[in-house]
Amino acid sequence: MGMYPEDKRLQNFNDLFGVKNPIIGMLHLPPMPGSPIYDGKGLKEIIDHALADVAELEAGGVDGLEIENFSDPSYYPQEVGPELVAAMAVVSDHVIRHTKLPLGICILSDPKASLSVAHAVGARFIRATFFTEASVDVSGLVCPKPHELLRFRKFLDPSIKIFADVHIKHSAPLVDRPIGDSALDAKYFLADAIIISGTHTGKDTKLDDIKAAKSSVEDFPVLVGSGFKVETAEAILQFADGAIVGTSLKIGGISSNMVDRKRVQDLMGTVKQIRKNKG
Amino acid sequence: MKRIDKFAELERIFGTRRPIIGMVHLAPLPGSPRYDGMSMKEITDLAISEAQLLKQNGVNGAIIENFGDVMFFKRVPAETIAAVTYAATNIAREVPGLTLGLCVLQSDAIASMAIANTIGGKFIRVPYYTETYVVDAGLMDSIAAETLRYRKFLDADVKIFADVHIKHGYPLSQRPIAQSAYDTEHRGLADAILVTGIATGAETKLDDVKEVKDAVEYTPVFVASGVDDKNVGSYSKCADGIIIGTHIKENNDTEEPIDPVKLKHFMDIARKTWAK
Repeated sequence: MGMYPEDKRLQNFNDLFGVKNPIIGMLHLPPMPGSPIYDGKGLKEIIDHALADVAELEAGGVDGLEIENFSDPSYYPQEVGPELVAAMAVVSDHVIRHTKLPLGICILSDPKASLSVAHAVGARFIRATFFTEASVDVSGLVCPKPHELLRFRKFLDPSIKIFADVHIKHSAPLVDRPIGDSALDAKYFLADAIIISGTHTGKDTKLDDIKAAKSSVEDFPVLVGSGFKVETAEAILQFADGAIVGTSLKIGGISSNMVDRKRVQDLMGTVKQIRKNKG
Repeated sequence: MKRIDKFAELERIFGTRRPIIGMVHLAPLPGSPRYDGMSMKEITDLAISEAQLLKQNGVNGAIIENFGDVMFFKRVPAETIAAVTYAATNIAREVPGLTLGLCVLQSDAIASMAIANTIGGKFIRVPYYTETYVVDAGLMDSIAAETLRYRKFLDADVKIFADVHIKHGYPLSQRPIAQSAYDTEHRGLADAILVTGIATGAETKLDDVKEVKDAVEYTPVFVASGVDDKNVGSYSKCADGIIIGTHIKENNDTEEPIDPVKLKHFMDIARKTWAK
């Protein structure tokens, strides 16, 4: 590709996590201040919840972490309020002081706020749930602005990586087009990795979608963003370069529960065996 | 209607009805014109050391302010909220027991309220709260109605300290400061009213303080610029609190760090002439 004389994004991706096929564990936060079902008790319990999950995920052997205001539906479609930016900064600062794993920030759905928090606390990547092309989600029409996001990153902190979802769960692209084409756009328009997911949190990501995206972007990191578990790991990692995992690591496999260390260990054991077999 | 005893609230928050509050001026933050690439950790460590100095010398509270970010936005972007929050939460952790307030310049009371509520800050300073001012950034409109409702939305235990006729700003309607203060008390529902001179560090006219104090009925009045070792005693009869910044700095330069010797000297004098 012309814009990258030597495209090192896959190498940089693996280097960030220090391993091929990294597994990123989700820190699903409880409802945050200002959100519809926030309990009004302040940040202490939220921080304790996050740190407990960090300890389990790290002990279980994941390669990275992503923190997300998962429990704040219905999410702001664009710019979030300052109460959320401030709260995410405080909780992320606590997390980063308790882990050596690379941390990513996902503030739904405001990637500029995610970059801002990432820079302030020293996180390494963000997840932009919408990056290229228009989509329709629960709040209506979503028109992400990659041109603004990329310039804002250049302005604030070019070292932060952008992991971009393509045809993300809970939404549909406005124009029905092949996922491979959309994946190539995200690569071409300077994402550092792309994420392919199923239709909802915890639901399987279709192997055909992963395959189509990967064959389209080739030597460029493709992550799976939902439904990664012991039973699906081998098939997925045949094509994908890594995974972001939440639901299957939770007690009882329920997204809103705490992380279950045993489940993390089981999954990471499987992943390590797969990595070994791949050589 | 039952009224909050605002003086009792000062005592609850600061441990005194006559607080002395010090400024913690942050270095230029990421994204601002003069930001020079310092890490947030370096910026925050400097601020922590100044907050510690204030506490050690018996100052009752500190206002964390993005003072270095000139030219200011009226409403700040996310990178400023994240940076100020990071600094403030680390100050709160490293300097426990010091009452913290937030002032996000130019006058973003919503950001200040959000950050204060998040990090356990007890008050915000709002430079342009009621009425309209002409400032370097153009017209600065009142943010009082929004701020009061946002506080309610967050259910925040955060007081609003509002300036009237603040330095660097010209009230669009040329009316006596006493009338403006009365509106800030009765319509703006401010928890304290701040009076300043014409610029950062400039002496606040004693007459202005007296006029405001006479005009308001049940709201504490603070002197919020130009307080130094020589004039602090003169305000003791007509004001309820003071905010210090410039004159405890090296060379009386607001951009310089706090001078520990000047700070100690100031507090020695203030103990005799202010908080008697």
